Amino acid sequence: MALLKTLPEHIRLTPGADLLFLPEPRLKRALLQVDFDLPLDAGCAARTLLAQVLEQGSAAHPSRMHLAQRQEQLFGATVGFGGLRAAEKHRMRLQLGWVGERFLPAGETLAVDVLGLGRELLEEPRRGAEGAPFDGAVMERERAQLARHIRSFVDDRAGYAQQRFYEAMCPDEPFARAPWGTVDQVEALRADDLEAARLAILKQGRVLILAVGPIERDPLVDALRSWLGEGGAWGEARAELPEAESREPGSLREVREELPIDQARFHLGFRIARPKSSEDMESLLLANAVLGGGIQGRLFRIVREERSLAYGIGSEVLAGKGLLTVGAGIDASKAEEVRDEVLRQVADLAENGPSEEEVAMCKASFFNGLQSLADSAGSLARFYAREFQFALHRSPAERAAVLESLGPRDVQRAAESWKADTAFLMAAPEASMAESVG
Amino acid sequence: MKILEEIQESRLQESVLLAESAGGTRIALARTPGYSTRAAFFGLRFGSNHVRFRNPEGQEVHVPWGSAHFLEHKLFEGREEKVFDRFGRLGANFNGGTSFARTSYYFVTSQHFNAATEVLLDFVQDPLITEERVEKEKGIIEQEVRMYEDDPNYRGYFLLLRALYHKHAIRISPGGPVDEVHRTTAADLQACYDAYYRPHNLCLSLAGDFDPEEILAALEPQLQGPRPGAAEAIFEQEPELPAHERLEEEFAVSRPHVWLGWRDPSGPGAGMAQLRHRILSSLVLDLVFEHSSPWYEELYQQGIVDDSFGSQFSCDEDWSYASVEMVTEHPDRFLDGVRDTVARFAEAGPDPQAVERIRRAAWGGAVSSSQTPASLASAHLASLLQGTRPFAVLDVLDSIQLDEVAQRAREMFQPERSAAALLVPRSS
Repeated sequence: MALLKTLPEHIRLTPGADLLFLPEPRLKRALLQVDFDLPLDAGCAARTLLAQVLEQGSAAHPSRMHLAQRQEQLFGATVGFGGLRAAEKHRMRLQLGWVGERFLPAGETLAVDVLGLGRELLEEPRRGAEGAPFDGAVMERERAQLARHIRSFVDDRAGYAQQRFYEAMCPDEPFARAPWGTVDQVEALRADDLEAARLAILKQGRVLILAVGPIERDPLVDALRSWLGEGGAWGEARAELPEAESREPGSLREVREELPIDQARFHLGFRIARPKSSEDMESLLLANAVLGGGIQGRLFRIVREERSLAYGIGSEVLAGKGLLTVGAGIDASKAEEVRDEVLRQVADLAENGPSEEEVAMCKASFFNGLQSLADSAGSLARFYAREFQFALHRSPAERAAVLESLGPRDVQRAAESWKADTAFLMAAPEASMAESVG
Repeated sequence: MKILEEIQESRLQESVLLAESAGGTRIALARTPGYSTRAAFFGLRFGSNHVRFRNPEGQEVHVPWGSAHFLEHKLFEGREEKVFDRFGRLGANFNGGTSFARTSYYFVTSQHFNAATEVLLDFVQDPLITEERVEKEKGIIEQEVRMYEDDPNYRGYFLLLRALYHKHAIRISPGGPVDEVHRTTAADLQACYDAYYRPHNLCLSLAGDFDPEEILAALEPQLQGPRPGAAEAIFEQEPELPAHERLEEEFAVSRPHVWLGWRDPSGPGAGMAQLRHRILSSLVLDLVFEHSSPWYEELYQQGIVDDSFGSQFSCDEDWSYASVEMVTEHPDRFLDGVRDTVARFAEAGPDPQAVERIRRAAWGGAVSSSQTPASLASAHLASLLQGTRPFAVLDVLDSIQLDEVAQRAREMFQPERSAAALLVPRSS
């Protein structure tokens, strides 16, 4: 099976609002993803609570029950709105999905109706009494729920440990901010703050839309132009967002946090050079794969398979922020061994580079992934969104060609820039590890 | 290789060819023209519940809890070379999984499909289990077990199963307790393998853009020939009512995690009876607890449930239960509110419009879940192991009558068949 050479059609709706359209009639389900990017700042709490409140009903569908019933009538279409961290941006995502028309009764079409329901959530919220922006009871209920959720985040061991690791590693950088805000911030929010957040998302958020799957072009593009295009309902030009902060690490810091858990959570963070070209990006991703990007990586093969120190261990590149992180669930008494092994492998990659065989295995996995993209609207959307966000604008075939040209020396060069910054251990109080420096 | 049947499913625009090897391995082949990926799933009805059985030679065997899962790990070691390396060179994604009643192994790839299939069939059918290999794996499995045991959701779920069941093996998680992992030997795993991993117990499901005839011809020499004899699982007799009305355990949580379950007296059996039971029961849960339900909406408006709420249904031949869960400072208010709601729902019966709406959404779900070759291959393996025809779910969904739903709701939510489980914050 050949690699996909297609590029999505790029339509600039207005400066700062772009649509990537990739019709794929072969697929059974369509996906429309509308991302509004804003800074990862103190406004996160308002946007998170706003998303919860908006999902409780609109003017036309006044409760979550009515919204859900509408989605069932649309053959199980999905309409969701929520936030996530993307480097130092707070990405508010409206995600829509629906079944392709060839599986519907004759005459049924869904795209415009589903988009309409998504717009309705954002643009026509259920208002409160006497001109209040939102229903007071709904807002109080959702505020209490969000505050409870933040307080009990500690029960999500892996998620909580990762967040605390980010805070330990990047204490005064926006990146460390939890995208849902703090309990104090949530409790201080007023209805006007939520309305301001809603308008800011619609007017100022940098927009990237991915439309992939069995979708008829013109009705969808027309609907999107009349929404976010120049002259449309929310057609304002949108300013660029600042790049994520970049820091130089000093010496390796050891941070330990105590929590009554059975299995310790270990993280190790590296500052890395942010990729500036297509070759830089692929070298970095290949180097990460050799280290711990999957079962072919050294962390899996050595830390798990050879030394039995962990069940799950892996590494991840956050290219937009310039970080590489390693995460594992371990026996706390083995924390130093795991840390030393990871540092040894990173040093070895930088000093000696990987073997030809390691690079070949990682490339095989990447090529498989690139060839597999064409079977899933979600995978295609993720691929082209990333290409757009890093201004690479390549097809899977073009990305594969760059990968093909790389060898062990390129991987080594990428690893040379990795500087260990913070080793973090979350463990039960009796666990022994290096001094807490916090 | 014997071709059994070709099933055309025009509504989903899919088809599947069913065949059987000389050794009795059942095979499903789904052709997906134009798709890049190809997938193969290889599995059998042997899971973590099978710790006591009579082997084909008639001897009774007891193995430690977690043996099926441990065996799955060991098969990935390969005879001469690690399976990770073999699949890794081919670039394929692969994994395995062990549940209460099943074990399966799979890969998904867009290249070297035939070579990857050879690897899959080889490592599952020709393992090497030694004491040294078993010892080496214990640390890895211990970390896996501890990872799950540290998760309040997992922990509370098994607390509920211990409340619902007296002796049934589903009270124990598939990985088994750590001490059982440590007492597992190579002989235990070999005994399991010899008893259950026989050609007529194995099912193979493949999907992709390939020529089915070519694939079948290539498969036959790679599948083992007949090896008669069947193991017989020995399960304890389970009383019909729950073991405990309520179980509580202190755990490192910030707020109480609460579960409420309703069990059936026994399981629905195999095949179509099980499929119909599963679909009906899931439909009942959706009618009460989906966001579209007025019953759920009422609970939500009253603050009795929030977004930490979830519901699920699970069954196999010999067990069947529904459960709901939530994180709340007010466990009793939650338990009372949900019990009251299901009692009123069972009395009122389902709303015909809601049933039709959910049926419509379920159709969209069925289309979406047959999207990729991997999802098709996985679904077909489940059908083979369950003893149902592929795509039968669509016919069952279409044929369900309102009075059946009402009857199932009355059966399912009987108060004397319910039990609660609470993980509460540690007092100190």
